[in-house]
Amino acid sequence: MADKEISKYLPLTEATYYILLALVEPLHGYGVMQKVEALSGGDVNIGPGTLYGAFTNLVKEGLITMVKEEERRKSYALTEKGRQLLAEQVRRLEIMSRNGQAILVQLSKARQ
Amino acid sequence: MNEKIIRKRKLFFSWQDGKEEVWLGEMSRQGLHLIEPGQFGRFLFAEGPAKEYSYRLDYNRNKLPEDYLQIIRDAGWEYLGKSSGWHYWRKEINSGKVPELFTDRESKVQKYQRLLVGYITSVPAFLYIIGLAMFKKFPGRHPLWFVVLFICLFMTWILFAAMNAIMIQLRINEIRKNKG
Repeated sequence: MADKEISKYLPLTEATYYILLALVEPLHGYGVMQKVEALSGGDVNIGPGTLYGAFTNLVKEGLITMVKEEERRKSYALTEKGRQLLAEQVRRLEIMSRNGQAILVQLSKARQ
Repeated sequence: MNEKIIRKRKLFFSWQDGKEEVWLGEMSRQGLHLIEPGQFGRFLFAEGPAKEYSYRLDYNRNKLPEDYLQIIRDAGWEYLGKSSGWHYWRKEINSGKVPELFTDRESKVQKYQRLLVGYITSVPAFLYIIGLAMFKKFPGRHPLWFVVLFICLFMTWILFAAMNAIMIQLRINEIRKNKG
């Protein structure tokens, strides 16, 4: 199902992956930073400078869109294309993870 | 509140922003907190209790968009001002976690690319602004020494800009190699 249009973005960087995950619901910048930190159990921190640049790029690529502007806070959410991209990334990660697990299990059996 | 204001002078080259950030952090640890960055390495500090601050510098010649400023402020950063295209921010360090404005390689590289463009465009800008000022102030026929002086100033600026551009490019290469 992955067309070329989507494949060119893959694999996503860790930061982009978590930003897209956070934007399954509309959020403004700081909301995304907090949600990414919570989702990743504190592993992934996105600086505000980096996040703003990411927003700009993702909007340009049509992966997210601005849905609300309150005072100076802009809220963004995934577009249909963004949702497809996220689903395809997760599908690939699952395959990679499954294959990796299988090999590691074989390896530990062979060592015994 | 009667806080003591202290002035300090310290020059940093454009590619030494990291060094400048560390220095400002050290000053705060000694109880000297930056109020405002000034031109040509003039810094204004307020004396107060020692604090752990993370100072971060961003480069942007243009006026920063309001929504950009809002995201950084929401994240708990305090804006201290702008000096020759550099924007000064700080945030308190809590539980040992040092806050950063830029957390990936690409955005760090982009900051230095903006700086690089700044130096490259400063060469025609110099010609335009200084040239116009000099030749307008002294209209009419220009003696040879005047033209030579202008060329010398211009050449000096080209050399200075080139040195900055090279050092900034080296910094970019280093970031790309170190993966952040």
